[in-house]
Amino acid sequence: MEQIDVELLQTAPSHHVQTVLKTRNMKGQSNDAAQLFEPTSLQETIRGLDEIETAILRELVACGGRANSRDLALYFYSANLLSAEKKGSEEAGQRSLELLRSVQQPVTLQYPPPHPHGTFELALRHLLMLGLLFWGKQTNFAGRDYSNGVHDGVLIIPRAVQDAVHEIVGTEELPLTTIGEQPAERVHTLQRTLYLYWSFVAALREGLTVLSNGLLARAALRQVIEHMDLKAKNEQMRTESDVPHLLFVRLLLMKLGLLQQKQGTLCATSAESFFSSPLLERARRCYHLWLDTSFWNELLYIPELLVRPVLAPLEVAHEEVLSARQAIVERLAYERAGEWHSIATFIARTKLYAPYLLFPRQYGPRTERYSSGSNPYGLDFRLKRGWLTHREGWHMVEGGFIRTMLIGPLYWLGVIELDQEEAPTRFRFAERGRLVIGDTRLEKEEVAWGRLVVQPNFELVALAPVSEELLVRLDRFAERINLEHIAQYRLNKASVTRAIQIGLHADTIQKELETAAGGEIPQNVQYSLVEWERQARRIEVWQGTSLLEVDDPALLDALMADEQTRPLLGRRFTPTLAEVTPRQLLRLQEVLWQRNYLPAVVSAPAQDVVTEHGQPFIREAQWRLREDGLLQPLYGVLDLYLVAKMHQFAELTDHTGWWKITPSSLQHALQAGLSLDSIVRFLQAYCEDGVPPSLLIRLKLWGGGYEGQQNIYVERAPLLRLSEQVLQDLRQDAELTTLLHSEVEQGQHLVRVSLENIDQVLALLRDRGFTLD
Amino acid sequence: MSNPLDNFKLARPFGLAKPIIAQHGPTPLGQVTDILTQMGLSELRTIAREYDLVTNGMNKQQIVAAIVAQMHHPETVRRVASRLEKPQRQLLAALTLAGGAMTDDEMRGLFERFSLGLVSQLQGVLVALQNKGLLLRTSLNSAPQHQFGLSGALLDLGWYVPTEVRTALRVSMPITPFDVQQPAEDTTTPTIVLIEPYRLLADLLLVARSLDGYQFNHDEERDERSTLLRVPTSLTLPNTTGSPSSGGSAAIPPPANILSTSMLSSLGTRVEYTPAFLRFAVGLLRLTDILHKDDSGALILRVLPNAAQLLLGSTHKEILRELFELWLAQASYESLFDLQEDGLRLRCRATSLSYPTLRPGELEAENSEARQSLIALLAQAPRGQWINFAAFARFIYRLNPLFLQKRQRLFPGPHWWLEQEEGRPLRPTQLHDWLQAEAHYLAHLVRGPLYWWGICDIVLSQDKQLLAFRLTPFADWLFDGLETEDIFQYDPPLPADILEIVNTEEILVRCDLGAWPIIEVMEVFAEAVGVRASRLYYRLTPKAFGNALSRGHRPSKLFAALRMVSEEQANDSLSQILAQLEHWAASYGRMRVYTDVTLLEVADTIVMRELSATSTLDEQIVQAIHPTLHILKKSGTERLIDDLKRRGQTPLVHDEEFSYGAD
Repeated sequence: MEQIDVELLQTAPSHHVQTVLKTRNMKGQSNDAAQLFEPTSLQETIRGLDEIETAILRELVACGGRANSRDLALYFYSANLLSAEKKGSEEAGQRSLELLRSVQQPVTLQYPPPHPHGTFELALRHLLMLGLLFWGKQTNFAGRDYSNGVHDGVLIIPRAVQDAVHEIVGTEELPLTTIGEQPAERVHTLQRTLYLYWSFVAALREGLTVLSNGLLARAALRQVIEHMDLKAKNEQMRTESDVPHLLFVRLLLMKLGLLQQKQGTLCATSAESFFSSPLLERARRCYHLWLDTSFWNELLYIPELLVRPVLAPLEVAHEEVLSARQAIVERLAYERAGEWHSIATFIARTKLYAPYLLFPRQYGPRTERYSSGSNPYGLDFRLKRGWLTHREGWHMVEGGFIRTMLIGPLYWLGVIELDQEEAPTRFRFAERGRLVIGDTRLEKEEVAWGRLVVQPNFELVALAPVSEELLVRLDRFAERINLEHIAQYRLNKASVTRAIQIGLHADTIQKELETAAGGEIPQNVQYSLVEWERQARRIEVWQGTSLLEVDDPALLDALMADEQTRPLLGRRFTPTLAEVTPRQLLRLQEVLWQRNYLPAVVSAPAQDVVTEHGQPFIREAQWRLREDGLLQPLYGVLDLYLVAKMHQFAELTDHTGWWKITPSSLQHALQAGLSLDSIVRFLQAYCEDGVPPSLLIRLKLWGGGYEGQQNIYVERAPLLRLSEQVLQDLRQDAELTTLLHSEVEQGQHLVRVSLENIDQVLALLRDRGFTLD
Repeated sequence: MSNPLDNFKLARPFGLAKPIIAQHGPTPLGQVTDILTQMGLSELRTIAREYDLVTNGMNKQQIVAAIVAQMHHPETVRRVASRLEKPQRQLLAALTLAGGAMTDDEMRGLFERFSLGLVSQLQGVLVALQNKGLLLRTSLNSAPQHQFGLSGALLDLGWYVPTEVRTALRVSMPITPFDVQQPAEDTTTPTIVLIEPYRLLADLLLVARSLDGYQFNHDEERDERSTLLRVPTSLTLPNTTGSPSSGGSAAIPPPANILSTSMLSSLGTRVEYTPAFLRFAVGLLRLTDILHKDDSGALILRVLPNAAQLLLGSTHKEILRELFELWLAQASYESLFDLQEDGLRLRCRATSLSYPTLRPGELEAENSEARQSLIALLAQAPRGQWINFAAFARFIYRLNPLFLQKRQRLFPGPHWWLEQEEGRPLRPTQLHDWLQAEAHYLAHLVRGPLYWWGICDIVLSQDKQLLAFRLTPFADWLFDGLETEDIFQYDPPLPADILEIVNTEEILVRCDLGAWPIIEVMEVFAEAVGVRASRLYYRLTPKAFGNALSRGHRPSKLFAALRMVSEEQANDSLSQILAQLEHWAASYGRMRVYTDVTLLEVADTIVMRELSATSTLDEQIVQAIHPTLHILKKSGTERLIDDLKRRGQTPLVHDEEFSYGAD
C-alpha cells in the first residue's frame, strides 16, 4: 500500500471508512483499513461493478486518477454513456438531450444538476461506498453524507485501485493505423486548394498587394475569393480575417515557401519541388507546419469572445498555444476512426484530461486566468455579453479554442470531416486521416495518376486523377481552360512565348509533353512549338542580368572548365565576358573569394549619364590622367559604363592602346552635345588625383572654357593705382587727361610678375596654349 | 540641422549664451511694463526715487518707461541691490535661484526654511524689495495648471523678480566646498572618480553595436507591439500576483520599453556596464533612433550604419549636445522607478478595481520637469569646485522641497507618491522623509546621468555613497552652449593596444574617441560584427574590402595602421592579414562583375539594322558585344521597349525576378 493511498484514506471521515469496510464485508477495525487496498479484494470488488460504474472508473483512471465530479458528469451525460438512464425513463432521456444541446451551444451551457437518485450520482455513491473512490480534501460537503454522489469536488482514485482497474479493465489504447492506407479525398482537397491559390498568384505578374498590417488589400482579396469560387460570401468578406480558411491557406503557402512577400506584394516562387513530392508527405508537411509553428493563432478566432487588448490580425501564436494544440491532437488520437463524435463531448472529455489547457498554473491563480495579469498572453478574455466564470469559462475559452481547432485547421488540413459546414456539431476522422497526424512511416506511395492526352488541335487533357505536379508543369507553357476531375489546357503562341520568357525552350516543352503523354506528340504541335519559339526570340531583352568580365581569356577558360564554377556561369559572349547564371551571383562571388580573387562589383547606373543629380556616382577611379591627356588605366578590367562614357571625348592612341584626350576629340564631344563642365567633372571623379592643372587649362582652352577670354595681354608698366573718384577728377584736369591712357577693362585681373621671370611666364603660357598680345 | 554654436553667436549680451534649459515655474501674465502700469503712482514714484529718477511733471506712463529703461542698465540695478540689507538680499537671491516667481505660500516656506528671520518680518522684507522694483507682485500663470485644466479662476497671486533684475544680478548657487584632500574627520579616504571626456559616446557605440541584430523574444515583441499599436489611455494594471493594491492605491508598473532581463543578459556577455547605465544608454539610443527596429518590420534591433561616424566622428561635440537636449526633453519616469534600488516604492491612487488613476504622461512630465529644474539650478553653480553633496541636497530642500512633485500641490492629495513602508507615503516637506526619497533621486541623477554625460566628476565614500561632485567644462557646453578650450582642444592620445588581432580574419578595436582614426578605417574596410570583450569587433572579409575599394577608398590608411601594430607586436595572424589584404588590393580589378545589366539580342543582323533604322536603339547602346548582342543603358530600356511595341515589334522581355518556373 502506497503512502499516497494512506494519506487519501486519512482524509476520509472514520465513519465512512467503517461504512466502506462494512460494505466490503471486512472487519470493522480502522487499523485494518489497509486491507481495503489489497489487490485480490479490489479486483473482486471491481468485477462486481455494473457497466456505468466500470465506465466511470475506467474514465477516471484514463485521465490520471482524478477529475471534478461535475465535469465527469457533464461528459457522461453529453456522451450519452448513462445508458441505464436512457433506457429508464423518457424524462431522463429528454434531460440528456437538452443537456447535449446546451453543451453544443456553450453560451447557454448548463451543467447537469446533481440529483441524489440520478444514475451518475448513484453510481458514484456506490463507488464511494466501496472505497474505490474518494473525495479530494477541498470538497465542500455542506453537512451532507460523504458518500453522497451529488457533491461538487475532485474525485480521486487510490493508486491501488488504479492498478486493479488496469489489471481487469485495461486502459484505453490508441486505435491502430493501418500501414499502406491511402490518403483520402479531404487531404487531396487541401493540396488542390494550395495549388489553386498558388497558381492564381503565379499567374499575376504584379503579385497581390499586401497592406502594412500583413493582410491582403481588399481588391486583391476580392480577386482571390472570385478565383477560389467563394462568390456567395463575397459581400460579407471585407478583410482577409473574415475568411480564415483563405488566410490559413495563404499563410501556409508562405510558410511552405511557395509564396513570398516582397515590398508589399505577394509573389509566387517555384512550387515544382513541393508538388512533386508524394501526396501524404505534402499533407504531413502542411500538418506539422501548422502544429509546430506559430504562424496561425487560434486565439484570434474563438467565437463569442472578446479579447483585450485587440490582437493584431497576424499576431503569432504563443508557445502555450502550440503546447495546447499538441495536447488536443494527442486527445484526438484516442477517438475512434469512422465514428461521428460530438464536438461538445470531445470538449467535455478533454477538460478531464487537460484541465490546464492554454493556462498553465505558473502564470497565476486558476480563478483569475482570464485576466491579463494571470495568463501568459497578457490578455483579458471576456464574453461579449458578460463576464466569464471559472467553470463555464473553460467551455467558452478553452472549449472555444478546441472547437476553433477542429472546425478550422484540422478540418482544412483534411484530418477530420464535419457533419455540416455551417455550425457543425460532430466530427469524425477523414477517411484515413489518421495517416496524416500519425508518424507511421510509409515506404512508397503509389498513386495511379491519369495520363496526358495531347490532341492535334493543341488541346491538352489530363485525365483523372490529376496530380498537382503535372498541373504546375502544364501551367508554365499552356493555358488552363478547365479543372475539375480532369484538367483541360490549350497550347498557343502566347502561352509558349510566356514559357520562353521564363527560361523554357521549345524542345524542353516537347519533352515534358512527351513524358506526360507517354509517347510522341502530334507533329503539327511539334512544328508549331519550334515556330513560336523562333518568332518569340526575334528580339529579346534581358533585364537584371549579371555579367563577369576578366582581364585574361585564360582565366575565363579556367572558370568555364571548372566543375564548381561552370554551373554558375551562363553563355560566354566574348573570350573575356560571360553571363552569370540567374541567382548565382553571390555563390560565384564566394567561390572567387575562396580562390583569392577580389572581383570589383559594378551596378548598372540607373541614370543616363554617369552622374546622379549632377554629382558623380561613387565609384573607384579608373584612370590616372597624365598631363599630355593620356588616360592610363589603373585596372586590368575597367568599368565598361565609364569606358563607354570616356569614349565620347577621347580617342584611341596607336602606340600604347590607351585613350587620349586631344583638341579634336574634345571638340567632337562638344559638337555631340557634351558640355565641357560635365567632362571635367567626370575626369575629376574617375581619375586618380583628378585632372592635372596644366591639362585643365588646356582643356578649357580647347573647349572654350574661358568664354572667349582666353587671350592674355601683357601690360607695360608703369600703371597708376588710384580710387575711382580721384580718377574722375584727374580726367577733368586738362593737363593730366592727355597724359593718361585707357583703363584696364572692368573684371580683368592684374597680376604682378617680376621682370626676371616674365620671359619664363610667357613661355609657359604659350606652352599651355594661350594667345599672348 | 542648425549648428548649436549659432545659438551662442547670437546670444544675449553680458556673456550669457542662450541656455538649453530654462527654469520651469510659474510665469507672470504680462511684461514688466504691464506689471508696473498696474501699480499706483505713489508706488511708482518710490521706485523711481531708488533709481535716482526725477519724476516731476511726468505722467504714469512716462515714469514706467523711465523705470524700465533704468532696469535695462545692469550697473544701475546692481547699485540699487547693493543698498539691500542681508535678509532682503538673501531672499532675493533664493527667489532668483528658485526660478524667479513664487506664490505667497511658497515664499513663506522659503523664508522659513532659509531662516531669514521671523515670519512677521517677511512682509517688511517684501515691501523693501518691492519699493526698489526688484520684486513685483503680480498674477502668476502656472503651466501645470493649464495642463490640468485649472486655468482661469485659479490663477495665483505671487511674487516675481523681473528678468532684467535677474540678468543684472547674475546670482550663482551657493555651495559648500568639499576638500578631497582633507575630508571630514569621520569619513575615510574618499575615491575620486573622474569622467573621461566624451566617454559616453564611445560607450553608446559599444552598447549599440552589442544590440545590433538582437531578436526580441515573445514578451518583448508583445511590449513593442503594444507600444506601437495601443493608444495609451492610462497606465496598465501591474501583474496582480504581487501586492498591487491596498487602500485605493496601486503599485506603479515599470515604464514601457524598460530593458528586459534577456536584453540585459545579452548585453552582459559583451560589455561590462552596470544595469543602470545600460538602461540609460539603450533608452538614449532608442530615443535617437541610432538603435531602431528593422525597417522590414521584423522585430530585430538594428544600428544606424553610420552610428560610429555620428558618435565618434568629427561632429561628436555637437552630437553630444544634441543627445543631451533630447535626453533632457525626454519624458519618462524611469529614474523614479530606479528608486526601487533604494527600497522605495512608487505608488499612485487607484480605482476600486485597482486601476491606476494617473493621467497619461503625468508621471513622465513631472519627472521631466524635476530633472530640468535641477539642471537649470546646477547651471548656476560654480565650475571646477568640489561641491559637498549633502550640503547641496539640503540647499535644494530649502529652496524647493517639492521639486519632484511640483504638480501634486495643486491637488488636495497627491496622485502619486513614494513610500518606504506600505501605506505610509513619504512627505517631501518633512526633511527626514525628503532625505529618504528626493535626496536619493538627486544622488542618482548626479552619479548617474550627469556623470555619464561628463558634466561632473564625483567623489565616493568607501561604501560608494556620493560625497561630492565637481562640474567640468562640459557643463558649460551642455548647459549653456559655451565652448571652452578644454573641449575644443581635447585631442585624446592614440590609446595603446588599440588593435587586438584575434585571427586572420577578426580584429578587435578599442572603442575610444582617441581610436577614431583606426575605427574610421575599420568601419570602411571591414565588416562590423558587433562587440566582444568590450571592444568593437570587426571581420575583414573580401566583400567588405571590395565594397570599400569600389567606393573609391584607398587602403593605404588601413595598411599603415596594421603595419604600425605589427611593428609593436610580432603576430603571425597579423602578417597573414597584411599579406591577404595586399593580395586582394593587387588583384582588385582583374575581374569585374556587372549587375542589373540590360542586354538586347536579336535573331540576325538584318533585324538589328531594322531596329537601328526605325527606333532609338543606337542612343541606348553602351557597348556592342556582338553584331546581334548589345549592352543597353538601363535608363532607356523601358522607353526602347515601348518604342518597339509601338512599331509593331514584340520584344521578348526576360526578367530575372520573374522566373520561378525556370529550370
